[in-house]
Amino acid sequence: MTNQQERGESAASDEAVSGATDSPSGPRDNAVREPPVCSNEYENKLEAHRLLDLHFDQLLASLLDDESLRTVMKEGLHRALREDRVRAADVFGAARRALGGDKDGSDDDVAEEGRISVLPVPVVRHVMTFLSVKDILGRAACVCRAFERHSRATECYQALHLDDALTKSMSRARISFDRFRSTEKATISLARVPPLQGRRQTALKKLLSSLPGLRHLVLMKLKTRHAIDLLSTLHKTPATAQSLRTLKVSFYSRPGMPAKTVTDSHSWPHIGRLEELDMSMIPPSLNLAPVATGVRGVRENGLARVKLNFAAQPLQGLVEHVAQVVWETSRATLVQLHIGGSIDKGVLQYVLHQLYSSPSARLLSLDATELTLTNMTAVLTPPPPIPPYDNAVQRPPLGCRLTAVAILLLSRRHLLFLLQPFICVAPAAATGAGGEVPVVTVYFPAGLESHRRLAEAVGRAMERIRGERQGGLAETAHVSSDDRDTSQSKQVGRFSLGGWLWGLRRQCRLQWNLMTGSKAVVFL
Amino acid sequence: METAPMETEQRLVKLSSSQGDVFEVEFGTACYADVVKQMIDFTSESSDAETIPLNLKTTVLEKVLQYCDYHRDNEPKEIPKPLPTTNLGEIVGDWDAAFINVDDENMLYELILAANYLDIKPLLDLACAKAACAIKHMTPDAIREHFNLQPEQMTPEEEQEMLEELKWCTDGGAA
Repeated sequence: MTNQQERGESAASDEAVSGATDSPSGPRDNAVREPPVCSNEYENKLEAHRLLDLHFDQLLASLLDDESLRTVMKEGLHRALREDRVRAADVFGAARRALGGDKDGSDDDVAEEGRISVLPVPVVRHVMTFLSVKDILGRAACVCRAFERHSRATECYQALHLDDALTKSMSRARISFDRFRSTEKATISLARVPPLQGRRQTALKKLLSSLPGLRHLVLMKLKTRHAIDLLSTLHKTPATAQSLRTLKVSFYSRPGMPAKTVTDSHSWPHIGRLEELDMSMIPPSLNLAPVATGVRGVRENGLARVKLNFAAQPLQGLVEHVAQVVWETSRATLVQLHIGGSIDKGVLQYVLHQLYSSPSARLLSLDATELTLTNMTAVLTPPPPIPPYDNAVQRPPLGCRLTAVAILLLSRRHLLFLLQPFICVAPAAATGAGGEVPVVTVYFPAGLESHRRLAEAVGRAMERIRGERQGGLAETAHVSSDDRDTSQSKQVGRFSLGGWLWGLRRQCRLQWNLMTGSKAVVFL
Repeated sequence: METAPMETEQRLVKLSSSQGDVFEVEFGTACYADVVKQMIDFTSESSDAETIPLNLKTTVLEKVLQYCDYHRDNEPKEIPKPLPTTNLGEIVGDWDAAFINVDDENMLYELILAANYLDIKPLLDLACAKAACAIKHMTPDAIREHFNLQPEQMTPEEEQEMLEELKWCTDGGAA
C-alpha cells in the first residue's frame, strides 16, 4: 500500500466517538435500537449505509416480493445517500418506524441507557463477551445499571462457565439466575466440589431450570457420584433437558483410582432432542445401562454423533452396556461414532457386532483414532456371527450400506480385526444405498502399508463391497496431497496396495492420502 | 474463498481517510472489509478510478489496511470466549498480538470502531479481546473510569444490593 498524499495533521484523538453502531456479533443486536448520535455527518451516513444493508430486506419484505427489485431499490438508496439526495436521519427514522421498535421497550432502554462516551454500548457489550462470567458478574455488572439490564438479553451470558470454586460457592447465597435466560452453553466443573446434595443440589437445580435456552451442556471433572447427582438434577428439569442439543461429560480420573462398580440406579434425563453425546474419561465404575436407556428416547433424526472414550478398561460386566449404548444410538440416526481410550478387545468386539448388525442407515464415520486395544491375543477371534437382519425392517446389515467408514488403526491386527465384518459379512442386495459410492477410509501407521496380508484383507473387503454394488461405483481416482506427504502416498500405492487397488479403480472411488505425521491414510 | 481472476487481484483501489489522505491498495486487501467491498461494487458501476472515502483517521485507516493486507492471506485465529488467558500472544499468535499492542488506548478504541464500521469481524474480535484483557482485573469503579461511564450509574444502595446478590461469584475464589 502506498500513501499518495502527504498526511494531514492528526485530528484530535480525544474526540468522543460515541455513536450507535450495530454490534457485528450477530443478528440479535438490533441496530435500529441505537439512535444515530454520531456528531459527524459522514459517520451517520456510513451508518445509514450499513443500516440499509442490514435491514433493508426486512423493511421491504412485506411490500415487495421480488428480490431483484428490492436489490435495485437498495442500490438506488445507497446511491442517493452518497449523492446527498437522501439524509441519513431519514433512513434511520424510516427504519425505526418500519421495524416498529422493540416489543420489550428497547426505546426506553436506549433513553435510560444513555451513551457511553468512549464506546457505544453494543461494542462494550462485545468487549464483555470475552470476559468470564465471573468477571462480568463480579465487576462489569456493577459498573452500570443499564449495562446489566441490557446484558441480560444479550450474548454476554450466552456462555456460562462455572469453575470449581464458583460451583462450590453457588449454593451459599440467594441467587437470581434470571440474567442467564439467554445462556446457550453452560460449562460446569466440579473437580473439588463435594457431592451435590442439599443446598448445593438445590442451587444447581435452580440454575438448570433457569436456562430454558440451554443448547450445550458441558460437565467437567465429574466424579461418578456427581454424574449421578447431576443427571438426576437434569432429569428433574425437563424443560432444560429437552432443549439440549449436545451433552459432554468428562469424568475425573486419577491414575490408580480403584475401580468400583456403581450400583446406584439413576435416571438418565429425557433428552429427546440430543444431537451429540460425548462422554470422555469414562471410569470403569460407571454404569452405562441408563445411558443406553436414555438414548433410546432420542427422537428420530436426533442423535447423530456419539463419542465414548474410556479412561480405563471397562469391567467385563459392563461390556454389554457399552454395546447396548452403541446399539441404541445406531438404531437412531447415528452419523459419527467415536470410540477411544483403553478398551478391551472383547468390548470392541461386542460394540462392532452391534454396530455392524444395526439397522442404521446413516453411519458415515467410525472413528477409532484414540483407541488402544488391550488384552489382544495372538490369534484373533472373528466377531460373533451377524444375525440375519430383521426382515420386517427391510434393511440390510450396515456393512453394505455404509457411505464411508473411517477407521484408524494402530496395528495390522486392528485392521484385520476391524475389517473382518466387511470380509465375512455377505451383504444383502444393496437396497437402501441410494446408489451412493461406498468409501472406506482406512488409517494405519506408515510401515504397515506393504504388508501382504493387509493388502489382501483390504482387497477382499473391497471386492466384497464391489460385488454387491453391481457396478454402481464411480470411476474416479485421484491422489489428494493437501499438506501431506505425497511421495509416501505414491509409495503406498506403488508398493503395497497398488496391485489390489489398481484392479479396483474402475469400480471404486479411489483416493490415496497421507495424514501428517506417521499415520498413513488410504481412501478406497 | 473464491479465487478472483488475476486482473481483479492486481487491480488497485483508492481509499481515502477523513483527513484526505489516499491509500492505494490491492483489491484483495480492500475487500477484506465487507463494507468497502460493497462500496467498490457500487463505485465500479460508475467509474473505476473513483476514490472511496472512509470516515477514518489516516493513522487508523493505515493500521486497518495493515491488518487486512496481512490477513487476506493468513487466516486469523478464532478467539475463544471467555479468554483463557490475558496473554493474547498465546491465543492469536505473535503477529496479531504485536499488531494490537498499541500504546495509545484511543487508538485501540478507534480500531474497534473502525472494525465495527467496516465489518471486519476478526479485527473487531481482536481489538475487543485486547480491551477485555485491560479491564479484566479492574474494579467496577475503574471500569467506569476506563470507559468514561457517566450516566445511569447505580446508586450506592443499588450497587450494594447487586453486590450482595452476586457475592457467590466474587467470593468464589480463583477463577
